[in-house]
Amino acid sequence: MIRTVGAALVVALTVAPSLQAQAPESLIASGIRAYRNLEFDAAAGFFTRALTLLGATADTARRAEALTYLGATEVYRQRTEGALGIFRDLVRLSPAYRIDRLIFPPEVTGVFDAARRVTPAVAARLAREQRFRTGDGGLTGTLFGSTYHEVRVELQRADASVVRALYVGPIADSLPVVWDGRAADGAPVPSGRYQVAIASLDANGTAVRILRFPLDVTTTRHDTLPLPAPPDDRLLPERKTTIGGVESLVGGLLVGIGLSVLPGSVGSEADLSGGRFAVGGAVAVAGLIGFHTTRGARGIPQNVAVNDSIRAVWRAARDAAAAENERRRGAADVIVRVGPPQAIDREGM
Amino acid sequence: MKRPTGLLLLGLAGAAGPAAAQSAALRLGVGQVRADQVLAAGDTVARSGIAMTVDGAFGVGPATLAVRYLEGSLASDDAARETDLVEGEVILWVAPFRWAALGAGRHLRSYVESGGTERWATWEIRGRGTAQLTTALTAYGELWTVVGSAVPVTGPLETGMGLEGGLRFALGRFPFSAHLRYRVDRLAVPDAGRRETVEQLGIAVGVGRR
Repeated sequence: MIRTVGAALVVALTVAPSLQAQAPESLIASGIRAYRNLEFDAAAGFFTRALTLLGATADTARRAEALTYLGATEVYRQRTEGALGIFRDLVRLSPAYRIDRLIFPPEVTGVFDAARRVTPAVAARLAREQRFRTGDGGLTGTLFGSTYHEVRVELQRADASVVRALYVGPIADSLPVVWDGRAADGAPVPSGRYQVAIASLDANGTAVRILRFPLDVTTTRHDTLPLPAPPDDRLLPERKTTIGGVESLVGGLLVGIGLSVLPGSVGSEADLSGGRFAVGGAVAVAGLIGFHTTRGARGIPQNVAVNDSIRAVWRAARDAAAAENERRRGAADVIVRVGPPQAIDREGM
Repeated sequence: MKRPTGLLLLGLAGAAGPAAAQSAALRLGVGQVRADQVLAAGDTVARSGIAMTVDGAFGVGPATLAVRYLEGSLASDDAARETDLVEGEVILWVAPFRWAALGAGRHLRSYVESGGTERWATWEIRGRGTAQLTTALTAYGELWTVVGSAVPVTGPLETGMGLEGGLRFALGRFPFSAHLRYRVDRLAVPDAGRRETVEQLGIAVGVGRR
């Protein structure tokens, strides 16, 4: 007796779970056979039970297959409203799903298309993790629409406050979306938890369905460069420190007077010509002119030219560093990890 | 005009002023020369004429080697005597400051006449001052004295001195320059009753920087 009970328990513990796991597939297969044999009531029963079992699982493909056949079954059972509701569930489950028009006749696909038209929804495909530098790539994804409708794609904080609107407009079959790692002000977002919210809007602009992808964003900014110091300590003096053209005045007068007077002590006045006065006078006048034109500090053109080149090099280095810092301030390395999506329909909002 | 031979001046001449790090200059000039000679018998001979000059300088650091050559034909005021004047000098200058330089060197002068050649050779020490009047004009003055001589007359040289001054015009961005200069020197040998006074007034154009 005890052995018999123990054996039964072992069988129950080992076989029962596998039967439960295979049951939806078997039920769907049985339903499809019944559907093909035009046993629509039986088929509906199989599909309904299969969906009940699949309800707690994430097997979207199986659920979509069961819903498709269940909807077609309902069409043939003359329950168009029921079929429409089933197909709307199918659209919400998988907005990009399209039933095979080689398998199902137009009366079925027509109801499905009608359900699609009144059920705006979006599916999205995002990589689980993306790494990029702001300004050079971004988080890229593709949206798939159930039907042509308006969508609003936003980057939101974890509390659903908007960081940046990524796209607002219509979607047909598919739509590429890119987020470059920046907030609305153009600055890279700080590290933290965010979400991409994709809202499907009805004709009134009311969100009827929101698909959210949680994001874990890690942002690494680059250090800025120090600006080069002004080259003041390397500049040459640009003006002489002589006061009032003293060199011009004193030098010109000394040479001019010396040329006019000193020859008399070298040779006898009778032996000398008046050339010394001409040259001496010219030098003295040139000295006076120089004094007049160079009063105050006198510029040193060579030093000014050298300083200009030093300043030009410094300005170029400063501008390059400033441009690099501007680029670095606006850029960051971003790592985005994308979590599993969550869809909320209007009824759940 | 008799042309003397044998005095070949190499290179670099001129009134070398304060030296640059490395520089070279060459100038060609022309001018009026007047030479007054008091001879032993008390006669005075005044001669004048036109002379050509070539001078240049080559400087390295504060040192500059300056060479000058002059050749001209002089005629007495009564045109009775004609003399060729040939001069050459080599002076080594050192400029401790931008505006001042000291130099020493050899100065040769020859009077070439049909009856022979009279040569005067002196060793001289020179001082030179330079003043920048404007960005284009520079004035200079130069004084020298004779410290040794070889003269063609009997007796020691009692007086030997001279001076030169003038203007240099050069635009900084061009290597060319123009010069106006006046020069006078005197050599006297009282024992021989000789006194030489040579006065030069000339202009020159140059190329190169110094």
